Amino acid sequence: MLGKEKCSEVLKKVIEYSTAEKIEAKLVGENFNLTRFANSTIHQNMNRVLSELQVRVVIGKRIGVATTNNFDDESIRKVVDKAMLLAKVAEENHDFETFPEANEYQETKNFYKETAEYSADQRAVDIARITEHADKYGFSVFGAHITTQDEIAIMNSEGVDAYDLSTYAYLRTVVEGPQGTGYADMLDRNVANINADAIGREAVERCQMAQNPQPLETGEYEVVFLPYAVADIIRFPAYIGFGGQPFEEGRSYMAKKMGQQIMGDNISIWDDPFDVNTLNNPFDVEGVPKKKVDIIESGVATGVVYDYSTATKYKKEATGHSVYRRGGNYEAPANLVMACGDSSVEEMIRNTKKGLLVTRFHYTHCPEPGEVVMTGTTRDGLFYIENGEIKHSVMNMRLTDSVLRMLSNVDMISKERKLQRDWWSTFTSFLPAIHVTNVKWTGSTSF
Amino acid sequence: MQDLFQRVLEKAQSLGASYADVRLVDRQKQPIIIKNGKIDSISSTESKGVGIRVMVNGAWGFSACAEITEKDLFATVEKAIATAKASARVQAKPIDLKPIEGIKDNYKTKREKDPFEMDLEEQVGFLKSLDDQLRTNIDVKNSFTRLHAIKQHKLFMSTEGHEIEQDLLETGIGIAATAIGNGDVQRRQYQDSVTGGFEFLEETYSFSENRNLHEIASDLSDEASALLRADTCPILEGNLILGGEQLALQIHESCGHPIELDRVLGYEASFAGTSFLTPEKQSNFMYGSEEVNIFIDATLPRGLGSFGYDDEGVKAQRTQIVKEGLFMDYLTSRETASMIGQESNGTCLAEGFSNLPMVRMTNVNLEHGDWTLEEIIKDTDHGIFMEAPKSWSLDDKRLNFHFGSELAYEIVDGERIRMLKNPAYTDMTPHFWGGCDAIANEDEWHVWGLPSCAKGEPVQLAHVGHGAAPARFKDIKMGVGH
Repeated sequence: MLGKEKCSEVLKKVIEYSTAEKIEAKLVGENFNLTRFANSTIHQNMNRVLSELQVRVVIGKRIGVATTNNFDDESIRKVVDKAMLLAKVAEENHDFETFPEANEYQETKNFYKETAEYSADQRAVDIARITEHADKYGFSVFGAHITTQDEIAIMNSEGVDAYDLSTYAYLRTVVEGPQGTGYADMLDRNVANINADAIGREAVERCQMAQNPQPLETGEYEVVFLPYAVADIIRFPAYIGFGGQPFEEGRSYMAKKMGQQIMGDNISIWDDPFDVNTLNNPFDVEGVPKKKVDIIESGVATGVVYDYSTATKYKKEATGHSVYRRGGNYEAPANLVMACGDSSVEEMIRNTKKGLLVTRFHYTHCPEPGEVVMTGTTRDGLFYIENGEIKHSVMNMRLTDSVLRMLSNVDMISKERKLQRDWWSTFTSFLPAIHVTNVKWTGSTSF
Repeated sequence: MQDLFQRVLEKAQSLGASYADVRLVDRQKQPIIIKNGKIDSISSTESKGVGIRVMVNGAWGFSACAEITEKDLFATVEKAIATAKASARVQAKPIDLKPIEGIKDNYKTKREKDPFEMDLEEQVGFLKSLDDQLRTNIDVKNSFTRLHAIKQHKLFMSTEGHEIEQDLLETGIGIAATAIGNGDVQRRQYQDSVTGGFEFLEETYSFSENRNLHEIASDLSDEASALLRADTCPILEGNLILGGEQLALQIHESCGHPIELDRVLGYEASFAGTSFLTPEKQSNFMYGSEEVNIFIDATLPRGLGSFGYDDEGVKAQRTQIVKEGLFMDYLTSRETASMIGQESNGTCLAEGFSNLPMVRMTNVNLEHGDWTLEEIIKDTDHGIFMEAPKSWSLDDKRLNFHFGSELAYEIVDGERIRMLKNPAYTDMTPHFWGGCDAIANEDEWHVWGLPSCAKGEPVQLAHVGHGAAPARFKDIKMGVGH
C-alpha cells in the first residue's frame, strides 16, 4: 500500500514515461492481516503489504499489458517499455475504441479507521473469546480472522484520476465437537460490527445441535437454507450468467432466457454497489462509475453487468463491473443483493412438515451450466425437521439440482438478510434465508 | 543479497526468534492468449519480494514486503515478531520444530527452449496455428489458446544455515473449443504443464496415441461438435473407465488433498476442509484395491510439482503413500511431521514471496499397471469411458465426491458404441479406489500438470503434477441424477 499521494506520483510517472497514444495505469494495493486458528490454537498469523502496478498501453489498436510490484524509477520505466513492446507484437483489436473518460463518482463510505488499525493482538482477543464459548463444552475451534485495507488508484490518458481506500473485516469459525461441527461468520467494512462473542455463541450452539447425526435417505425434501447456504445457491447463476460477455456471445443460460420467467416471481436479484450492506465501492478497476443493475426482477431475467470493453464492443452501457486480474481484467457482479421477504427462519422451520435445515455448503460446482445444475455437500450443521420441529442432526448430504428449479420453488423468504460469502468467496452478497418446497438430494456421507 | 539476508536473520534472533527464515522470490509470468484466431492478450507480470517467517515462544509469525532494503526488511522482521507474539496468546502448546542441518545448494530446472528467451512472434505463431485447429469444425464458435510460462528465482536462508538458490521454469498449454448448436453449448479442452521449456509443446505424446498438440486440437474441435448431437449420459451403476486426464484430477482431489497432513490435523478445517485419512489409519487402512499404488515424488523429470528444495529447505524426495491398497503416509512439513513423530518429506511450499509456506502436493502419482486402454475396453461388457474434467465437488473430509466430465463413450461388449454428453459419476473415496481392477501401462502413463491447485487463506495456487494412466473402477454410480 502506498497511500493516495504516492499512488498519484507513481501513476503520473507512468503517464509521463509512455509514448503510447493511449495509456491506462492502475495501482492495486493491500495491507492484509490474517490470523488463522485450528484446534483452539493460532497456527498462522500474517501481515503483508503489497502493491501492484498494471500498465495498459495502446498503439494504434494494439494493446500491451505489463505488471510490476516495484516502483523505483527504473522499474516504472521498465514496465512501461514492456507494455509498449508487447503492444507492438499484439494484433489490432478492432473492438477497442478508447479508455473510459473522466467521471464524477458517487461518494460511498467504505473505509473505517477501526478496521485499518485493528492489531494482531486484538484479533487474538476475538479468537480467545470464541474459544471460551467452546471450552465450556470441550469443543475445539477453527477459523480465520481478517482485517485488511485495500487501495486502488487509476489514471488514464482520457482523464480518469480515481483513488479509493477501503477496509473490511471477516471473522469465521467452525466449532468441532466429538460427532459434529457448527459454524458462524460475520463480514463487514467496519470491524466494530464484528461481534466475536455472538459468532462464538452461534457456532457453539449449532455444534451442540449437530452432535449425534443420523443418516437420512436420499430423495426430495423441502429445505430451509440459511444465508450461508444461499450464497452457494446464488454463486452459479451469477458466475455463469450475470456477466455481459457470455450473454453477448450466446454462451450462458441468460442468453437463451433474457426477458423470460426463469425463477419464481418472489425472487429479485440486483447488483447495487452503493448498498452499504455490501462491500460497496464507487468505481470499478477501469475507473468507470458503478451502477445499480437489475438482474432478476420478480423471477424474470432482465439484465447483466458489463465492463467497459464488453460494453463498447456490443454497444451497451458500461455498468462499472470490471474486476482486477493480473493478466487482464474481467467482468463480474460484486455487490449482489437478493430481495427479502417477510418470513423468518423460525417460521420456515414451523411450516416444514418433513425437510432439512441446511447451514452451509462445501466445494460446490456446476456439472450442467445450461440448466445451472449445482452439486455440493452440506457441512457444519444439517438438521432434520418434522412437523415444524428440528428432530435431530443429519449426516451430511449431497445436493444435485437445478438452481433455476430451486429458485422457482421458494415459498418463504426471510426479512432478515446477511452479508455473505459463498464457500469459495467467489461473490459477496447480501442474502436472506429461503424455504424451498422441493430439493433433490443425491448422495450422503458417513459423518 | 546473502549478506543482507544474514543481517535480517540476526535481527530476528536479536528480537527473540528461536528460528527464522528469509525467502526471496523473483517471479516472471508471460501469458499469451489467443481467442478465435486473434491475439486476445499478451501480458507480462513481474513480482519480487521477501517473505520472513519467525518463531517466537513456539508460535509462528510472518510478514512480507516488496522493498528489499535493510530498513524495510528490518521493519518487516519486527512485524513478523509482533504477529508471532500475538499468536502465542492463543496456543494450546508450543510448536516443536526439530532442528535440521543447514544446506547450501543450487538447483535449476532443465530446459531446452526458455519461452522468456524466445522470439514472441514465434510463440504467437505456434499458438495461432493451434487455435486454427480448434476451429476446423464449423460448429466451433469460440476457440481459446493460452500459453502458461513462469520463471522463478528463489533464495532461501534460515537461522539453521540454509542458503539455497533455485531457478525454476514452467511451460504449459491450455486449449479449448466451444461448439454451439442444436440448442446446446459443449466445450472440449485440454491442458497440461511441465517444469521445462517450450520444447514440451512441440513434441508428439506417446501417452496420447502419439498425437501432437495440433492433432489434439483438431480432435477437440470435432468432439465438441459431436457432443452437440450426442445422447445424454444415462443414470446407471457399473464399470467406469477414466482417461488419464480425468484420473489425474481424481488423484488430485481424492488422494492428493486428503494426504496433506496440515489438513488432516485441522489447519484447513474452516475453509478447504479436513480429511478422512486420520493418523490412526496410517499403515492400518485399505485406501484402495491391491492394484492401487500411489507415491509422491518431487524429483520426477518434467513433473510440474518437481523442484530442488521446498520452502523450508527440505530436499525434494519420493515417498510411498499407498502400497497395494494400504494407506502408508502423508505429505508433510517440518511442523506437521513432528506431530506424528516423523520428519518432513519436503512438501512445504508457498505461492510467491508474500504467502506462508504450507503443506502442498508435489507430484502425486498412481503407479501404472500392465494393461492398455484398448485391452481394458475390450475386457468390459458394459460401462462408460469418461475423459476430461468438467466439474468436481467433494465433501469436507474428501469422502463423498461428484465429478463431471466433458466427454464419454458407452462401452458394450468391449466396443465403444456411442458418444455421450454431460457424463458424471459419484462415489465414496475408499469404495471408488477399492473398485480399481485395471490400470493401463507405462506407455499410457503421463505426469499431468495442474497449474492451479487452490488452498489456504489467502488462497494460494500451487503447481502440481499427477502421474496417471487410464484405469477401470467397478460398481460406480454414473449420470448427473445420481
